[in-house]
Amino acid sequence: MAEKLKVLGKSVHQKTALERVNGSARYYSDFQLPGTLITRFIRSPYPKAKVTKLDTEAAEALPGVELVMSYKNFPQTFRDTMHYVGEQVVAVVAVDEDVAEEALELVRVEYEEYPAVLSIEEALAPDAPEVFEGEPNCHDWEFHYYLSEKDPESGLWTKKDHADFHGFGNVDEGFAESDVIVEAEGLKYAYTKSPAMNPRGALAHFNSGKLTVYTHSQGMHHEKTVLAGVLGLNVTDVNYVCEYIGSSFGGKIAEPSDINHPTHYLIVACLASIELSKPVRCVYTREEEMLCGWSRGSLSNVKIGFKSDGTLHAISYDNWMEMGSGGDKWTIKNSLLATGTTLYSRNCKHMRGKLRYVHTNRFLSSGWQGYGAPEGHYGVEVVMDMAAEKLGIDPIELRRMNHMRGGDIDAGYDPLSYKSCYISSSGISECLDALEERADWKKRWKPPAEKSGRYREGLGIAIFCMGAGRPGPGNNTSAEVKLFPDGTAKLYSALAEMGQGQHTVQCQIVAEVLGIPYKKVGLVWQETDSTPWASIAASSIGTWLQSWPTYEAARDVRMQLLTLAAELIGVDAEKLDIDDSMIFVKDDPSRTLSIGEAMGVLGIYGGKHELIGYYSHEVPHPRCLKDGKPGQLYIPKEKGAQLVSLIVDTETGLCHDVKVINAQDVGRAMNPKIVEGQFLNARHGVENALLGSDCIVDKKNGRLLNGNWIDYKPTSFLDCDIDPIIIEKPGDPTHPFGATACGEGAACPTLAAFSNAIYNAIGVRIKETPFTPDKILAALGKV
Amino acid sequence: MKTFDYIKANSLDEAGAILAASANGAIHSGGTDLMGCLRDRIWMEDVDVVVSVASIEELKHIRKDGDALKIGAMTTLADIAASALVKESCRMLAQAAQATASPQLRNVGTIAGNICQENRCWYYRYSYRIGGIIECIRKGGKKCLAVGGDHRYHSIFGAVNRCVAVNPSDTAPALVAADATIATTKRNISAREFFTGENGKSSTVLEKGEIVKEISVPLSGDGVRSAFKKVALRKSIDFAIISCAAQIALSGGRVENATICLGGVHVNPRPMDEAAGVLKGEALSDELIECAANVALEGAKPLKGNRYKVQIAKAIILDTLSDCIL
Amino acid sequence: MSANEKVLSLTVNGEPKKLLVKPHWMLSRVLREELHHTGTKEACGEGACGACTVLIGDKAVLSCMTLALEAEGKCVETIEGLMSGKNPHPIQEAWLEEFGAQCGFCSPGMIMSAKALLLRNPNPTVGEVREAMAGNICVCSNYEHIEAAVLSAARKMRGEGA
Repeated sequence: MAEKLKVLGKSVHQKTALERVNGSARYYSDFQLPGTLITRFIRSPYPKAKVTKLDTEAAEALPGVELVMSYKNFPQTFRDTMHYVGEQVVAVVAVDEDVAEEALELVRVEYEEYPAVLSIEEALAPDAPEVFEGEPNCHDWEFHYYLSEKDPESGLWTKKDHADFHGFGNVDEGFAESDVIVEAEGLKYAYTKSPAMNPRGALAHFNSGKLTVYTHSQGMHHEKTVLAGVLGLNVTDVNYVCEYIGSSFGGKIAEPSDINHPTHYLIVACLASIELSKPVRCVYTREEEMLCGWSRGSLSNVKIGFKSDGTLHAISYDNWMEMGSGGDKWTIKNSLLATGTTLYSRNCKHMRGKLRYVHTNRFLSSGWQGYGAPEGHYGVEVVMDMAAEKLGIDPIELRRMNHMRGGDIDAGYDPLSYKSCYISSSGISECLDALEERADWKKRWKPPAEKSGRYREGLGIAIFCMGAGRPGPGNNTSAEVKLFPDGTAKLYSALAEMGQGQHTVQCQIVAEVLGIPYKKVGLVWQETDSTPWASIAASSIGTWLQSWPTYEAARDVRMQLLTLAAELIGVDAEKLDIDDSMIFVKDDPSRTLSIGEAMGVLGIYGGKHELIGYYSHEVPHPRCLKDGKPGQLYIPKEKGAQLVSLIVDTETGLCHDVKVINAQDVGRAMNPKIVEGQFLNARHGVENALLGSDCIVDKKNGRLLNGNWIDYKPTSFLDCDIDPIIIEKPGDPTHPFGATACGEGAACPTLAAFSNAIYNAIGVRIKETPFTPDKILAALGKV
Repeated sequence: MKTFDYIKANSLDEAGAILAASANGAIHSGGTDLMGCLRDRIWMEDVDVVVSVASIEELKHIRKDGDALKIGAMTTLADIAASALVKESCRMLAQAAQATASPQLRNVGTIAGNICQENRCWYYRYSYRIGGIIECIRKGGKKCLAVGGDHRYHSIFGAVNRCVAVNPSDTAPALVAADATIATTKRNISAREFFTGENGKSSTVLEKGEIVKEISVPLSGDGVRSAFKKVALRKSIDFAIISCAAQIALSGGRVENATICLGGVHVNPRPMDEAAGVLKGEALSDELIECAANVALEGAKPLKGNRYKVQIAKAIILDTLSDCIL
Repeated sequence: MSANEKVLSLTVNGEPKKLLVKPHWMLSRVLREELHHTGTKEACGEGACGACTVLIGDKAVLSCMTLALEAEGKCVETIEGLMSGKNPHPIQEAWLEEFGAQCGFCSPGMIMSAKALLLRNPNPTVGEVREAMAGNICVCSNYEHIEAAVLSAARKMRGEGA
């Protein structure tokens, strides 16, 4: 490879961008097959109920109705017990939406209603009704480990045992040894909803024994495999087609095997299509998406002990995560990332993290964009701010003293199959420096006591780290690269592209390794039938996970090509390099050979028509090991710092001039404009902080009152500015080109940074998100 | 959405006749509110016929006529917001039109549609798709669910017919503050009398088959200034938590006349006459404006969960009046 | 022809079309399902996101809030109408250069809003761009890039190059 990177590090245009801007990109809902049937649902009006009577006869008899599905004929997907308002009772499959809607009115359903729990607080109350019969509402996380022994040489933990909390040391002793202790209880992260432009859905077509599914997916091979199992089909008889995804942010991931998971659109479309041998479309409306999109929300208590000089010493962290009626208990693990296990691992000697997940009679929660990490950061970074005040230390300085550094030990849950790992790089100090300068912090930041008047400026900071590597088993991922005699290459990769830019950067890697222009690299990604397995693109691991197989598959092709060329030129392959599509002898660049010449094409009977490189790995790649030692693993993080500045109008409680600066160390920005785009995602925090984004459920009837985009408000063009600052600190060992992740990180610190900025403006801490005028005015004593 | 018959009317008389003869017809001007109502099926009776008047050209005008500004019923909010004539003679109306919804909705949404729109109470508008409609008092149910439920955006001046939904229109307070007259196919109605707290599928006094034809805003003399302000969570595509329109006529440094109207605080746009009375005959000062704002909210009866709106109402009156005299 | 179907005549991207529609069909449905112009997206169904934005005449409107029959006799332009042959429209070029699309689902609507703006205001300020685009939601939060794309497109269309 050339010494200097020629393609990586440049903002080359996105692959498949023209299709996205000229309307030809096909999202799942754009596929149209003749004779497609339409699906509509009857959904439960009660948060907890049993269907006592169901009569679908009249609906079935309506001309144009092809299938009526319920617990009676499709018990794997429908139940007669209801756990939240909106759970599916009946699906009607009909020739068009008018017939389907008419049929819904002909279905007679009777329910017996039961008492329900509609919030964490209600679910935790003594004698609270059970969401699932015979199962307590509140569960301790099953994977709490106590880490008790360290290898003196490597510093890594060597012993872990099941415990009723996660951590190390002894927090009681830790707090006794602390000079200053700061704590907050009841920090509530509202039940927010994952955003997606295109609501979930699928078009299934079962024909001649084969099922084709057009849908969205962050991991189509995994989903297809699970789906085939659920449907009792051979994996080879199912093809998953996923050309473009209308955003996902984790909230649209499917789990076909779990009846509590909001994947019913997929199962319903497939089951109906198999039953009828016709194409069946099941597309959710915005209201249904607002119900089924993954939520998140939690309640946390945080206590942190410091030495008098500000050195963090001990952390106790309690989190109750609302899971709704189903959901994903794994989410909660990420809340620990913000604690002494990872973000503050540098100085934290005593750590106790107690995680619980709580069922309620609300639509499920599974964690999106940050997957539990934003909730953890909210609690910890708020208390860090309180601590800075109590210690009399600048909030930026307190973070600078205590944040994780590259080589520190990660004792959190990302290394599930390990006891601990090395954090591969940090760069948080550099991010803090950048924010301090960009915001003119030293001059502008003043304590709340110095603010007065109606309009008060507030500046708030929070740092973050987000898991960006899953070293455990099950993260097998692959790539294939083909090189053709005309000097073009094609990458076969199923890694999901949701707008985060992986298609582009993976093609950049191929171009870089092969020494060919980026424009000469094509991509095949559209379906499972023609792509090798790729792991699910979640937890911001795309960069870490997929870059290795892409890189190695391209290197495989490169070696094959250079071996062919070596024979023709008469030197060893190691003495050759490729630049600008020409193979040359490194010591004598005048001796060249084109790719076509090297492949020796002589027509259809001769030469090599394509060179195929392939690489598949069970993570981690050997280069992620410290000095190649097994068990001594570097794991990458997303990491950085965020600064919120705003002006609180103390008469209306509104915030104006809202600006979020996101500084993040990405190791190497493989495509700077794409990296910038990822940082802009911090805007989700703005709606969660200020625009009232909370799934508001009526306390009596359990209905979601703001289940649309007028009452639940995605951020508009006018609500805030985001200023992305890219920090590149080279040398991260976990990636072939030193890149680390950028994706969900920007979503993690935002609510804490807002809480800190509002506190900085008004001198009152608001414990519950969102920070709407009602709460700000109440905090100011004006209500 | 349920299907219906669709008729494009060539005149308002024709439209009125079709509506009067229909079982449950609905008028289509810009359609931006109507489509939402039909899509979510918020009405108890299905609409059988939609009569479109959107393309009647003679209803799209903004002109001076004697001592009034005449605005055709089908004039779009975008045209009103951009009109130099409206900006000059009734600034608060142009500001209110500009503050409404989004560019695309203002391009088709009309002034008549804006003042006739349905309220945004989330119980009333709850979509039938997720467990069926909610039978609130407005729909013939037994009680208003917002009173005992989540009423953070509801009335702070009590219920009318036990409903605490608020009028969501941004232009309505401006028209009331401007003392506009609304001409219909049957009569002239003062903007103050136009809105009604009756339950059911209407927020106005319009009778069956009666259609808004033109809006007439008295032209103000020299020394008259007006302003409109809106407090909403999102800076675009949002309804007001509270809006305020105010107009002040100054003469010799003293307030000759003043009107103030709040939106988003009550079932109807709420004129604040006592507060305006405080200003009359006085020289304007910060203290006087604050006094007026306090007087305006003296009679407020907020619910448990929306007391913060009283504070916002005071602040927005203050800001609007201040903007008038800038 | 079923009971209440009506004939709709309109022009879509310069081509006259005549088809049978039901009165309650939205323009977006007709464009997507009947005319197979799936570039126009439906995302919120309430007029609150702008993904379905098309031009009727020179005005940006929401096709999911517009009855198809309201477009009778009108000229509708969708995202499919912007390319000239294989060449992207300057707005589309700007979108490519400034990375205006992330997932791309909002892009067609955004681009149509941008076109409506630049038709009436070839030299918009940053504030005017934001105001004009404020009816379009991008949940990838790509507004800074989109703003740069609209400003760049304006320069291109004024002949000032990027």
